[in-house]
Order: sequence, then structure tokens, then C-alpha cells
Amino acid sequence: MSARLASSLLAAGIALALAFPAAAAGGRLATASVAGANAAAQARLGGNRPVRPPDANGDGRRDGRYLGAAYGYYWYEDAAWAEDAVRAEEPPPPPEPAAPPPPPPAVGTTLLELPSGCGTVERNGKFLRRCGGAFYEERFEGDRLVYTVVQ
Amino acid sequence: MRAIDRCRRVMLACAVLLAASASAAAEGPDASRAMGVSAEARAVLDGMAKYLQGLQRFSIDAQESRDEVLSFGYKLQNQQHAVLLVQRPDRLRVDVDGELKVRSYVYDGDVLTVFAPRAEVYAQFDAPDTIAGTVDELLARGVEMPLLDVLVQGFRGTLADGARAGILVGETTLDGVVVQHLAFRQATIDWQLWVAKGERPLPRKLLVTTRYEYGEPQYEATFDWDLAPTIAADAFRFVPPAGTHRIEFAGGKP
Repeated sequence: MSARLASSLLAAGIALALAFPAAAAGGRLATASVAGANAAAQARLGGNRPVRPPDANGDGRRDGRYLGAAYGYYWYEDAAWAEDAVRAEEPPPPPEPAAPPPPPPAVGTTLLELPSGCGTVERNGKFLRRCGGAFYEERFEGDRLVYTVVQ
Repeated sequence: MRAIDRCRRVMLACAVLLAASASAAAEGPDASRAMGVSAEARAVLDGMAKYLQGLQRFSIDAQESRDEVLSFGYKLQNQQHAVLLVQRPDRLRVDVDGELKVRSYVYDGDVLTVFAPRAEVYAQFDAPDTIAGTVDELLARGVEMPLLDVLVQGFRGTLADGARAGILVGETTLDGVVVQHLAFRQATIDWQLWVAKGERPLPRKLLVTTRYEYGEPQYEATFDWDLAPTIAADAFRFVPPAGTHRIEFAGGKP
């Protein structure tokens, strides 16, 4: 295996490793129910829901492609992948000092996933999740769980 | 000869579904609705609904896959297994175990419980006194419970109400069963349904394609039916396991 090929494979591995954690935040799911799609259309737009164009934000590109580029990750067929392969041969930069933990989100913010390292508490008879200094109320929205900062 | 017939029907289906799209684009949704669902397709759906309405109890073992289009354009397929138990007029249970979620939905005639065992939380609401009413309530509250479409057609017969065009593509074989293949188009989804031909017109497979989403992700489910299921005495009663917490629905509704 040539050094060039090895570095290319390494770059592809790095690109995947970078990309899949981003995916954990959730992609765009297929509609899973005909009746659900009908009910959503009725609820949102009185049953006369217009068709959303592929390019809803009007930037001249389909939204999914635009989001992909915005994340800065390259899939293997991209031309930029070759540039990554060259970069991968360079020594890694020295590690940066650890950044301070981000401040907790504002009260009322709703998240689809909790930060790591949460515990549970009960306050005034209400079950809450505690993550760092923030308390989250867990609720069902439809059948998915959401977490709203309450203090 | 049969293959040629099917080929012709597929071409006809494409033409009808395409015409529905073109009509929608040119003249708005009202014109496209006039295309409607063909009498043949409607007959298959009605036959299925009538048969389902005559079943007092049944269970479905469903294997499902649901595409997820990731931020960098990769289409990942998630697997899910669901078991539905129905006992008319007022008992229902669905257990879902999959990569995207693990849930149980239990309806005992009075209360519907949504239970998330991994998070050790559950929520409940006072439900209507029939399965049909409870299914309506679940839809109104945005709950994406698997197999809802089977229940909607079986209890309401309204699955194709949003379809702009629908056609019977033809007959084929699925797992050794002769089935009728239906194709529908509506505003944001295309969907296909395979219904067994003969005395037991049960749906055997559903495919939903999400339109206007990058990658056009699909949801696919195949159904294995049991018309004489063994149902445990406590199958429709939810008892919170130790250590679980009751939570609420966002906005007062799930």
C-alpha cells in the first residue's frame, strides 16, 4: 500500500469520524405514517398545505446539500476530500487548553437531547433532570421526549 | 403475458401519478384532487377496511425501516420492530423496539399511556372510550405510533383521504402470498400498499416516500398477521415499573 493511499484512507476515516458524531444530533427522518401526514396537514394549514419547495431558504441549492456544506464535512466523492488527504499527512497541531464549560441554556429553552452527566431530582413534587447548574423538565411532545430548562 | 400486463399497468400508474403532479403544479391542489383514486384502488381499500372491521382481535408483528438523511447527505436506514395487539372495542397495545426509539403504548379503555423504558418515564391522558376515538386523539396529538395507518383504515376507512391520485398497479407475490399493489400520491408523500388478494384482504406491506426532502427518505413496514393471538390477561394494563417517573405532555397534549 503506497503512503499516498494510506493517507487517503486515513483522511476518509477522519472525515467519517467527524461526520457521524454530527449525525447523532439527528437527521431528517422519513415520514412514517400516511394518516400522520394527513393529520399534520390538517392541523397546520387547515388541510390545504402547500408543497414545500426543495429550496425553502432560496439560496439556489437544495436544503440538505446546503446543510451538508455548512457543517464543513466532506463525503468521499467530494473533490475536497483529496485536499483532506494532503492535510492528514501534516503533524497534528498541539492540543489547545480546555475551554471552560459552556453556560447553561436560558430558561425556557427546549432541547431534544440532554447534555451528558445528568442526574435526577424532585422539586415541589415534580421530577426534573439536573445537568450541571441547569434543571430540565422532561415532557413528551408527540411520542418524543423534549427537555425544557426551568431554572 | 402477466409480466406485460403488469408493465403496462406500471406505465399507466406512472402516467396518472405524473399527471396528478403536473396538474397540481399548474392549477393548484383543488384541480389535482379531481384526479382522485381509481375505482379499482378504492375497491381494494374498502375491501380491506371491511374485513378489518370484522376482526374482533388480532395482532401484527411488524418489521420496519426508516431512513434518516444525515447532515452531510448520507442516508442511514434505522430498523424497528413493533408488535400491535387489538381487542375490540376498547383495548390496544403497541410495543416498539428500535434504534430511534423504544416505546410502549397501552390503552385500557380509559387511559392511554406512552412509556419510554430507557428514559424510565411515562405520560398518560384520559382517552376516548373506543379504539377509533383513541386513534383520532393520537393523530391529533402528533403521536407517531407505528401501525397507526392500519388502525386508521381498519377503524375509520380514511387512509386515502389525502390522496390526489391512487391506482391499482397490479398483482404480485409477497412472501408467497398473492397481493394487490396500490400506489398513491399526495402533497408531501407518495405511498404504496400491498394488500393480500382473496378471502383475507390484509395489508402486508406499506412504503412511504417523503417528497421534497433531500434524499427522499423512505419508511417501509412489512406485516405478519395473527388472527387468533394469545393475549395475556394484563396485556392492556399499564403498571409503572419501579423507579419510573410520570411526566406530562408538552403544551398539555402529547
